[in-house]
This record gives sequence, structure tokens and C-alpha cells, in this order.
Amino acid sequence: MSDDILDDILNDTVKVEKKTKAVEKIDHQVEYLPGCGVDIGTSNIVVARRTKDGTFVNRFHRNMLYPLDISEEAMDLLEKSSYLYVKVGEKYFVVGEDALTLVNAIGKGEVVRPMQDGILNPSLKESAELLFYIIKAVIGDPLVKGESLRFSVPANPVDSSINNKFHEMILGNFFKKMGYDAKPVNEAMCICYDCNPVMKEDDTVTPLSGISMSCGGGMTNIALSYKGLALQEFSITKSGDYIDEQAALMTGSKKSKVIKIKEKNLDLNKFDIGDRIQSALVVYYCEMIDRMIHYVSNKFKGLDSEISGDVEIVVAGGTSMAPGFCDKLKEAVVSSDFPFSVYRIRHSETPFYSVSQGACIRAQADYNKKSK
Amino acid sequence: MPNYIKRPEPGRTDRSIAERVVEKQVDINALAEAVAKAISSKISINNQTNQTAISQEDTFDSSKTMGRLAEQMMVERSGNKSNFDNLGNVIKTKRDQQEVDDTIDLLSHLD
Repeated sequence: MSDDILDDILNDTVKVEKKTKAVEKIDHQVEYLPGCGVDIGTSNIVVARRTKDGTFVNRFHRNMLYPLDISEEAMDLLEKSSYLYVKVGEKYFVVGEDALTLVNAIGKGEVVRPMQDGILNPSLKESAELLFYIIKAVIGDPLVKGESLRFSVPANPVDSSINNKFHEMILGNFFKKMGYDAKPVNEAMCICYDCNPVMKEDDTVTPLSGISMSCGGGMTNIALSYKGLALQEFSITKSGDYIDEQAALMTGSKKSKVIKIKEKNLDLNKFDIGDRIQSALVVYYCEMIDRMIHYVSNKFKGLDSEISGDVEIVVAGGTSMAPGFCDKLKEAVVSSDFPFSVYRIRHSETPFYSVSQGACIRAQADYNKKSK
Repeated sequence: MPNYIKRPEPGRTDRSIAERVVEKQVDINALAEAVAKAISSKISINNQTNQTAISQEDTFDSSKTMGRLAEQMMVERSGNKSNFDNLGNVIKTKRDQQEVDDTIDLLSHLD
């Protein structure tokens, strides 16, 4: 997600509190309910807590770093500026939005990420140490001893040999070391808990039942649930980043330009057919949606006996934010051999925060269960 | 099939692969590691019994190995430091409290 778009999102939300140097601490005067949800993505880390009046407080951090070798100049720069940094091993790393500011100012080098394709970046040897530092600073200490925490993890993909188990173990260790009672939760199921899809049969409405889709940059996660229980979960690797890469490749354009057009100008329902980049983006968006429906049909076939009513599909994630996404999804469902009767496709009210909020809801349920 | 002895092409010497590997200073260990890595996910164990190949799944539980590796990656070097205690911007969203409470209640009863 580009900075311009992200700023628009931040400004559109109910309330934005922004500080550059003295970052706001979790306000312990506010009465938070125990139970913390964490969405650790390739691009962003989002932590959600809920207050007693039902407000979700999401803490958002851009997951990027700018490395500087230790030198007198670097130390001088960091001392005189207000950049937030961490020193790990033989390097300084400027963190978050400051990393982007600095790389643009210096004009050389590039921003690195502790995560890549949804898991720890194997090409950055300090990735685990850096991520731990950042996670500690974004999440803070547990509100109560052994506070319940849920962190989102992707399901293993159907179209790649990536195994997320190791990544899950590392994150679990991080949170346990911080004093949390931490458990993983499937990313698509977080969308289910936050958006509450319902299944309808005759006059009966069954909550937390239906299909949940989390369309991220690296992956799309999909789950079929019944009364809050996951019946089937899987992920697909070709998602938002794939759309950008292919559109850039096919039009001979820079990826950054493609991303800017995608996030600023693209409407999947009405696009400029004379604009090669927009046309390519629409084609690859349609391919991504068709791929999702293809795998849903294949994976969920045979489960239709367990789901006898009309189901709802709920959708969230940054890649789903292109206008017209849900309309294209509807068209694809209607024209496919879909295994269920779908009565509605609904976009999350807060597509960017649905995963962290869903994880928070699950963590609060864990805490309530423990407290009984 | 006629007996056929492969002869070197005109202008080329008849050298073994081993000789050519030595001459080119190929890193055998790196090569072996790369090949093993590439095919590891595709290997299945074959038992030859009465000329019938029985393919078996690798049933060994490697989660302990992964757990040990994950523990080892928790090393925090003593020289590490930062100039911040907290990170991130705060964004508040409002939800239907009753619906969220009902969801939490339902999930509290799941295993």
C-alpha cells in the first residue's frame, strides 16, 4: 500500500492520533478489556484492544526499516534528528515511516522489511531480533498477568510449498516471552469474528457461519465456518503483489507506478480502457478473483451437506479495497459452479483493521473462558 | 543395438566429469546442498518388496526441531538498544457492542 493511500485511510478513520517522536503509550486510564489481537503482516503490524464502551483501539505501525552502518556520520544523524531507531548487531535500523523519509532524503539504499511473503524475511539475518524489538514497542506489556493474546497466521497455501509452522512458533515465543498467553488464529477466521457472516435457512439465522476472505498483499486467506468453527481453511499465494508484478511486467511499467495507479485511480467497474496499466490491472484482478472462486469450489465441494442454508461471503484486506471488487466477486460467483447458495457478498466496514479486531475478539473470548 | 563407444567430439579431450569439476573449481558441497534442498520436498521413501515399490509418507514429527530452532532465534544480543519504548499510531473504530459481545460469548464456549 502506498503512503498516499495509507494517509487517506488514516484520515478517514474515526480518530487519528499521531505523534512523531514521543509515541503515545497505551492509556491505562482507559478501561480496556483484557484480550489483545495482533495482525503481523508483511507491510504493517496492527494491534487491537477493546474498551468497555465497545470501541476498538487499533495501534498501527508500518513494518519497514532503513539500515545504516555504524559510523560517526550515522550516529551524528541519529542524535540530531528525531528518527526512531534500533541498534542490532553492527547496524542501526531507522524504523517505520522514518525509514521511508530517510531513504527518500538520502536517495540511496532501500527500505528493508523484517517480513517477506507473510513470514520472517530469510534474507535479513537480523529479522527475528528486529521484529521482536518492534513487536514489543507496538504491543506493550500485558494489561493483566498472562493476558490472552491471539496473533493471526495464514493457512498453508494450496499453490505453494510454503509451510508457516516455523513462523508461527517464532511469533508464539515472542509473545510468551513478553508475558502473554498467546495462541495463533487463522487470518480468514479473524474476518469471520469481526464481520460475523450469517447463514440463513427457512426462518433460522446462524451466526459466524459462511465464507470469510482476507485479501492481503502476499496471500488471500479463505475459511468456511459454521457457528464460529472453521470447517475448512486455506490460502492462495497470488494476491495483491502478484497483480502489481504482472501488470508491471505486461505493460513494461515500473511497479511503483502501477501501485500508484491501482490505489489512486482504479475502479474495477469503470476504468479507462485506453490506459494500458488500468486495463492490465483489471485483467489481473479478474484472474485473482477467478482463482479464488476456482479454489473455493474445489476445496469446499463435498462440504455442501454440512452447509444446507444460504451463505454469506464477507471480504476484507487491503487488496479488496479497489472499488468494484465485491461486484466482480459477485459476477465470478454467479458464473461459476459454486458449491453453495450465496445470498450476499459483504465488504467489511473496516477492511484494514478486520484481522486485528477479529483476533482481539477471539482473545477476549479466551480470557472470558479462562476467568470462568 | 550396436556396440557404441562414445568418442570425444573433434577438438575436445576425453576427460571425465570429475576432472572437469576439479578444473572448474566447482563447490561440490554447495552444489549438493542446493540439489538436496531442491528435491527434498519431492522425495518419498520407496521400499522394494517383491519388485513392488511402496511409497511411504515421512511420518516423523519435525515440530520439535522447529521448536528448538525457534527458541534459538530468540537471542537478544546485549549491545542492542533503541531510542523508543512505544511505536505506532492509534486508530479508533466503533462497532455494535451487543453484536461483538454476542460473538465473544459464542466463542467462549468453543474448545
